[in-house]
Amino acid sequence: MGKAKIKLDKDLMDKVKKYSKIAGYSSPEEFITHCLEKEIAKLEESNSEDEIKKKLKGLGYIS
Amino acid sequence: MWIFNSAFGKIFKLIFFPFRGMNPWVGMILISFLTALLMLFVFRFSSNQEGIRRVKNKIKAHLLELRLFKDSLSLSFKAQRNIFRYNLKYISYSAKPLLVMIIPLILILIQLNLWFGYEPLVPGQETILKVELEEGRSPLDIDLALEPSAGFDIQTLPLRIEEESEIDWRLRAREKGVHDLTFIVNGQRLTKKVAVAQKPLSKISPMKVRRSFINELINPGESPLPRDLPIKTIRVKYPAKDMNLFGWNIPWLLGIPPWLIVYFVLSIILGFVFKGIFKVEI
Amino acid sequence: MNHIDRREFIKLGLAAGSILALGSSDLTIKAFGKRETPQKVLVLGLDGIDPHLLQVWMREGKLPYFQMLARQGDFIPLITSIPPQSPVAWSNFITGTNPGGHGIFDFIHRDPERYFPEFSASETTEAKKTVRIGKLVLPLSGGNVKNMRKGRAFWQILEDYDIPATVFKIPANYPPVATKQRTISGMGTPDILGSYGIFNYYTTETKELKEDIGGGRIHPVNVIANKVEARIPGPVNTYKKDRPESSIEFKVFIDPVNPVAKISIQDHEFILKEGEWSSWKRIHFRMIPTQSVSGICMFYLKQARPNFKLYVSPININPGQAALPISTPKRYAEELEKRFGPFFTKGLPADTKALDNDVLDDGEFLEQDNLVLRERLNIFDYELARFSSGLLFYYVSSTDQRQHMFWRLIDKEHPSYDPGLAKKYGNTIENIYKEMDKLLAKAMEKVDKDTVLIVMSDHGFSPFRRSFNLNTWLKESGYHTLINPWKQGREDLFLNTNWSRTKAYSFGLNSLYINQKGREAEGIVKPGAEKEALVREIAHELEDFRDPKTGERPVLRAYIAKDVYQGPYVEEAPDIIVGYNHGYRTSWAAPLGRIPKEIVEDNTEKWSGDHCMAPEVIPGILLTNRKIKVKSPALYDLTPTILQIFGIEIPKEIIGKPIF
Repeated sequence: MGKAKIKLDKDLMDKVKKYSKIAGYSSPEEFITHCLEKEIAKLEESNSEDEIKKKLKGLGYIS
Repeated sequence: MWIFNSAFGKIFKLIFFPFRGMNPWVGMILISFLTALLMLFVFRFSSNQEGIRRVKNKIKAHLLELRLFKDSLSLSFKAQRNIFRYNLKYISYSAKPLLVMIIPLILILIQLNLWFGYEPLVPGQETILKVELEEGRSPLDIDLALEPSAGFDIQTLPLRIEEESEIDWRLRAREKGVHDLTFIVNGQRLTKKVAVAQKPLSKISPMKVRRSFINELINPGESPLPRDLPIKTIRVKYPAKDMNLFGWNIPWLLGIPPWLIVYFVLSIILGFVFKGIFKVEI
Repeated sequence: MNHIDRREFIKLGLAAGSILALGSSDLTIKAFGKRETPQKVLVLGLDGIDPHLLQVWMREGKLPYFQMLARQGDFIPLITSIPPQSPVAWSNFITGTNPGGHGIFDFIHRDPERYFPEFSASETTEAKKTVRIGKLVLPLSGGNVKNMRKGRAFWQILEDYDIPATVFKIPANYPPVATKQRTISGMGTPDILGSYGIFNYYTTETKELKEDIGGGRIHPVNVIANKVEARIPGPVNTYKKDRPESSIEFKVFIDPVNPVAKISIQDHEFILKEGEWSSWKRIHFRMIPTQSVSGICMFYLKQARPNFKLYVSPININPGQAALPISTPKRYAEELEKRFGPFFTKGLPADTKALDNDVLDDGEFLEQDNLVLRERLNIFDYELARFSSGLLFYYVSSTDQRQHMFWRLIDKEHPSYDPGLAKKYGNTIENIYKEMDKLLAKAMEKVDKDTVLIVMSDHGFSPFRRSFNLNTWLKESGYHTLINPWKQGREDLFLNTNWSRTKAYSFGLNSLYINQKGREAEGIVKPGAEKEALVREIAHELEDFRDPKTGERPVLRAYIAKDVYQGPYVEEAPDIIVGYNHGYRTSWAAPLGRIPKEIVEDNTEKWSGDHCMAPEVIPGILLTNRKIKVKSPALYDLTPTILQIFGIEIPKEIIGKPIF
């Protein structure tokens, strides 16, 4: 798999470094990858899946 | 205006007096019958009865013509034109009695709304009391107090809505009867009626308005508010009255309340039933 | 008032967030059984009443009528279902079988093709044929809501013999199965969104906002000129091409000083004081000019100032104009609505989610559940008064809901125990038992010598102190493999699972499935000997596992479906049913396929009592006014008992045996 580089401004990169540690990621790359994946998943996730999840969550037994 | 309202209102009170304890349909049928009589009477004496009879005969004749000569295009066309012409004439003949009727009818409708438009509160029921101030008048500045009474509980502190120049309370009906809500505004005492658990047919005045011809004409149920106070209206919210026909609640149609639908339908039917007896040509 | 709403051209169904047209229902049926029976049966179904607690309070003389009944007849623990979840347990009672005979194995089933969770109780399908006119989509054929429970209900069998029955809110009967009997659905009945219940909460307090809370939507609002404008989201409008969410706008006017507010929504206008509940409000979501969906909701003004906080209950189906089938005949719900006004129709009515998420506090939750209880008791009086023949079944949910939420205040060992709150609300559970004693008093007054009285619960209760991440255990034991180990615990629905290297997984509250070749989409375990061996191995290891913190065994028994189920639906069962020990339950994350890092964690939620354990841990109760002749009766024994009382031959599908 090829890898691409992304430019981030320094302030943000510092924050990423700091919070990736706090949040328990093993590297800033992992943290960024996860954040992006999460955002993309939100856009990709089909409505029906999201809906079903929401509906089931109304059940007191789960969260 | 209040003198007129008060007197005119008494007529209805008198008419409905014996029927208050009965199903509201009894009062409704009675008033529809009286309205039908009034309409027949007005028709009889304000319209050209002879003219109407003649025009109706003409229309009948041309209708017959239309059927007899349906194969002849020119004849049936002519007949149609005549039907149309006499119809216009018929309308013009009936316009006069309708014009004569219209003002009393509106006054009657306004009165009937007080009798058939609303359901009284029942003990335990909650409602909103609304005081509407002059436009632009802040409800925070006004010196207004609501006095407690045995008939109802005042359940909330005043809710003042500046944007609407309005003050609201929540009331809970406690005892049967027509109670007075007493306000003290700038040192003056004001009262507004609240009806709780009345007879099936009873007069309910939801709104008390400031003295003015139009206001009072439309809201004739109570004496008007003095003009020197900054209050425009005092209103108690009542549930709308249902007209129940063998278990079926007559619905609202295009914003027209059930009682009005019933009233129109009944008075027209009764008008047609009795026109022969009173020899009125409609 | 807009009365076009009242027309019911079609029924509306809800699936996957959608509203759709259902064909006219075959549930509207004329009358119910007419036969006058000399024998009568009155069953009180008190969800979750625990034999141990009952006995303690009976002994202390706090429950005189339970005591009296036990003396007159019998009192014995009732064997519950495997697993002891309400839909499963009540299905056992309804059909006289176990899950192998009725096909309900858990609150949540799964689609093996998609590794995706599903409601077990009902299935909604949309209209198949639609016509599109501009931006409108009009349904031509009916959609459908289907009750997934198999097997015949005992009131259907009674109907065959013309014996009348009224069945009030029995769980696991949504939509109510076709019958002429009077029935109304209970647990399993969705809200108007088709969900288990989604409340709305409007607040200016932004720090309270969590992005996504289960069972509720938080709406940040602003108070501008003492006014709040907001909307209540409704069902998806399937009449429109892009299926937008419908909604109703409302306004709240707040007094500048006094803690009162006026809410104005559609044709309602009402004033609430701070800390006050409104009555039911009927609201209508407009879809197209001739179509709307009617619902009912309650408002609670939690705070007017300094922060504005308004709670709106999940929108319940309006029993007077039910958009979905909730009763048989349809007019039964309407009849009750006419007499009592709107009432809770959603399956589990009290909003435990709002309490769990601190939207309602203990006192507020109890106020809400008191409203539920009051409604129930009123309707009970009515049904009891007209009960003169056949069978009456009456159900109470508050017993279950309060034990779930308030166990932490009677259990000092619970991680959520709070001495201050315990002082104030520690007697909540005791109080609901006392309420049930009063209910029983009324029933006993009515019962004559020809009436068999059965008081029962579907399961008991146990503390839920420690939660077991079953999927994490599977992962740690080498049965479940992740794609990215660092993502562990961050994804729901097994999105991070490498199925080609996964042998087992768990969806639902007690269900464990083998990733079986030919059944699961990416199954790897061959059915037959390989699977059998694996099932036994996992079951064995599960039972052996010890909680590192307490040294206890979280799993008391892992049941193998083939060994414990009989009937035509055994094949559909999970492979292992996990029976947790006293104090343990599956975790919050596991039922929907999230895999946290710890195997066992403290349960710090308010939801602190539970029953999704091993059945041995939490039997239900059985009290009758006759002597019970069998030693250890089970839920499915009650079904043939009822049939026997009416002299009906017991169908061979029923596995239970009469108890008298």
